[in-house]
Amino acid sequence: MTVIPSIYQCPNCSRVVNFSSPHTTVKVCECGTVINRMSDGSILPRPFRTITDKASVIAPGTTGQWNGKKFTVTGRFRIWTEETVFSYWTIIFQDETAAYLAEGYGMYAIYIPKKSPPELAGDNIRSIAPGKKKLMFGEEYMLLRKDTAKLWEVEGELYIPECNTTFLTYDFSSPSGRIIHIIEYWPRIQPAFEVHHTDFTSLALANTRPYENSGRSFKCNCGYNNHVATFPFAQSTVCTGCGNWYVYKNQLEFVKVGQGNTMTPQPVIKVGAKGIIKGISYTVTGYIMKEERNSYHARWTEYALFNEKEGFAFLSVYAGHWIYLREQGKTPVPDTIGTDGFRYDGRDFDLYNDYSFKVICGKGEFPGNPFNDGHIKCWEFIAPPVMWAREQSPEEGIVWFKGTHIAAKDVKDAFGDAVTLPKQDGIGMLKPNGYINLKEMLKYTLVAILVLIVVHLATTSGSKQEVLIDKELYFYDSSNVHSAVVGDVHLDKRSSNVMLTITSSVDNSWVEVEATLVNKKDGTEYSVSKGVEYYSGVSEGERWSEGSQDAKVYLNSIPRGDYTVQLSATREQGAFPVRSYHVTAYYDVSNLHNLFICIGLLLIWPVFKYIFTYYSEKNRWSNSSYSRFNYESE
Amino acid sequence: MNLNNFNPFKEDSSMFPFRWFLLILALLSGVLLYSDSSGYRLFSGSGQQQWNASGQQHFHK
Repeated sequence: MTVIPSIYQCPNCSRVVNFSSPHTTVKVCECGTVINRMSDGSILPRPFRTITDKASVIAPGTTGQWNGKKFTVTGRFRIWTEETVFSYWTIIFQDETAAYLAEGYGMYAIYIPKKSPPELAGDNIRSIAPGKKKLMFGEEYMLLRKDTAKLWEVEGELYIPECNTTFLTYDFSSPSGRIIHIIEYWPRIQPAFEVHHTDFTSLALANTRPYENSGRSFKCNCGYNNHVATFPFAQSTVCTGCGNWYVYKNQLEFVKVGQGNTMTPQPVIKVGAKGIIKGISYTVTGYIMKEERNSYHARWTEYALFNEKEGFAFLSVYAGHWIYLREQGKTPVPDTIGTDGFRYDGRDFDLYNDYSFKVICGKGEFPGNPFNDGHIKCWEFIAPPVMWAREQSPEEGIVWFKGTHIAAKDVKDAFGDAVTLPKQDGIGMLKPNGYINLKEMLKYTLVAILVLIVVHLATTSGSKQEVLIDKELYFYDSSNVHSAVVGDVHLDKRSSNVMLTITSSVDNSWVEVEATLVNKKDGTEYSVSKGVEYYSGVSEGERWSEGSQDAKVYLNSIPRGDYTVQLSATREQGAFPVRSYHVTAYYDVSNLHNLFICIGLLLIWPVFKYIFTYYSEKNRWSNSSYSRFNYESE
Repeated sequence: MNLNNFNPFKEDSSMFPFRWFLLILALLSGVLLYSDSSGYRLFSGSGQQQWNASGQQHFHK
């Protein structure tokens, strides 16, 4: 068994070079020499590029934690794709296992090594196009992105296997939320990684370094000297002097592309303004106006925001309504690309709009290349105040942005005098406006009714329904009024009810009974009266009747104690007056009255909410070609 | 696990739009629990009357 040494001498400057982990394969000596430790323990100086402009607060020696495990950052390799840069930091956990901390554009993820899926062996992986699915690890995964690392460079001490000068990376995502990243370092050498997205705050990074980035300058044909401050993240810009569009090409230089501004940009937030949005301190780096490539030619504007730790975000404004967007790594994976909606994170998202766009004008600098318009198709799925926007291009694959409504007042509070709020018109695509998903509301209402039924059953399941009195009482022939003390009862619950059922064989007459409970100790009386009446006859050949020969009445909230029950009855004087009446008293009786009252009160909110939401949503969706509302009758 | 998702008064919770409904449900559950267990009849129009033999009670020296 080969013992891999950890201490070497730099072949260039003879300094001691210490590999702190057995997992790492490359280390940059203080003299700048890149030393490659081979599998047999020998070392070779390699002509790998080193990272000069760090442009990251993470550094070799930075510590952090993930999933309850502490780790130390040792170094990184950074890849340059067509329009982006992305860092793979080598991290060593306290249990000496290694992983990558992927970082770029404010997205952070831990890449845990995983056995490569055999389904992708050989050249199979190259034949999959973005948006297509592949069965791996017993689950269907969609290929979201396929990127070519056109160049890579190193910093510190890191793990990178022997690899080509360029290589491919693949991002797969499954509907259950699993994400697989594959790096094809070399044809058919395809290590896989389980991706766990996280965020800057959760990583609790310590020993970070100040963000330093000198950016990049270039001279436009017009002679203006432009400076791209957030390069290499921003790889496109608009010349401040003439409005020409530039994109950084082939990792070499900024090259003029497209037609340039066709109208004078008039951003409502000054480029360069600083403000705090969602607790993050941003600088506005760019402004761009886009137009849908369809018959509506709708125009909206976007502002690129940059924070050194949280990366890029965007403020999009249309008809005075603002949306805050950030690119996401953990994203929905709809069943099909052509879906008109999906459920994600407990919300139902519906397709609101799809379009491609062209750029009208811009100012400042932007991540990626927004000027490759026409290639990118966008889908917007909304569940106000949240939306998921999917951008797909043949070159880049699929990118998801999560957008949330942001009140104009919050934008004003963030940027102060640097912003002039545009006038609002209509209901914004994501404006909450009391929005509620009607299917969700039905579900919540049914569950709420069930909760009330359970509460009622649980409370009344122990009801005694004890018979206190069960007596037939007779009127004296000489009187139409009858009074009697019918007995003493003991009520043993702290508070409960007494139900009286009164039955009398009244026929075209009535009897009224008053029942009184007299507390034997303090004399408090509780009384209630109830009439029993029944009338019938024949009218125009048809038999009719109204009333009933029995009735029910409750004495409510009767406290514990000994009581005397008194009854007093009055009958109608007639040719054939009723002779008797029957009273049965039950103690501690459950009934549905309170349950129905509570359900009725509960339903007030959903009913009003439904009516309001229906009309509000109809208005919101009037701008969408995917509206399910009927507007023809208006 | 994002605990905010279980707090309907946090804006990023999926229950946020239903916060008032859930509050109403909690209140009504309490009302139902109280009324069912004490024999109180909600919005009862039965005309029940109560007489206290000693009238309104006062404390006196």
